[in-house]
Amino acid sequence: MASTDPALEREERLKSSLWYTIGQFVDEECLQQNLNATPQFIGALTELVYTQITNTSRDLETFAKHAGRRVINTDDVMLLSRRNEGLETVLKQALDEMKTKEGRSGAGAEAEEKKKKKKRGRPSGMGVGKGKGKTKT
Amino acid sequence: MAAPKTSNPVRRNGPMFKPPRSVKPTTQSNKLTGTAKRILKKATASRPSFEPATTLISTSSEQEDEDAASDSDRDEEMDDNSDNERRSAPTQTAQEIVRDPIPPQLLARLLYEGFEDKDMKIQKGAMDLVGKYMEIFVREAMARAQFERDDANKGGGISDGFLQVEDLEKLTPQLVLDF
Repeated sequence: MASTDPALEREERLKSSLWYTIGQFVDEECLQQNLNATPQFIGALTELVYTQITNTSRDLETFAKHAGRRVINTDDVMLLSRRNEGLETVLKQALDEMKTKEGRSGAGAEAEEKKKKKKRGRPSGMGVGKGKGKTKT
Repeated sequence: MAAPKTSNPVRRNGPMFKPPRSVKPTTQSNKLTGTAKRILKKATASRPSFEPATTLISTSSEQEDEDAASDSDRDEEMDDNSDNERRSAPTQTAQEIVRDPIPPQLLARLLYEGFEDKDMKIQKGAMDLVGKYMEIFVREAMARAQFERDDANKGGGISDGFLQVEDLEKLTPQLVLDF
């Protein structure tokens, strides 16, 4: 964000990209529900989602910083759902699913990660939660 | 209308051949659980496609060495996905298309734009989880919009089946409070 102009333009581009993908999603969903959405609806939804993402990223950053980390991990994301039990359940399930998947197929990938870390000459961390406690050099 | 129109024909061809999906009716309800089940189902289907990406996605200088290798990887993955969506078995197509309201790369980019500290990083797992979170958010918004539309129709409004901005205006406060 050196000057306002490039920053603004970048924001616009990201927004239009989001608009496109949201538009596709809404169309898809509408097809199945036998509905229709006005372009204004898609635009407004895009704005909403964009704002939500921005807020989310701020939150995540704050959570991680509060924990003294510079890397956001899944715990921070789980904190997002602190006010909504239903959401928490869903996210928890998704997380568990991800973890079991990783446990099954992630052995090779993890080995690779370790190699990468060593290459960059970083301390290999605490084993659990790759990248935990890792700081930028 | 230009953008949605152009995207329609391609997609419209797909689902028309497919039998109606069993999960469809649940979206009508305003319950998170309904949405949740569908999402979880989809998660199982979608996970493998972006599994191999790097653990840490970052904007900082660290990315440079990863970029060379992984950027091409990511692009290929994207292509593969869209290929699958269009050409693979019909049952898969229906599932693949609907699963991701926001592509992971775009979401990562948007998140990094939002960070104040440019050195902030995010784990791959956390990234996926945020993807899930935003997916739920968008689906929930859609489901609630439909709910609002149904309400409006019952109230004797003009029922052309078009989701309006007003629907979104009504649902947004509660939605944002819930997320």
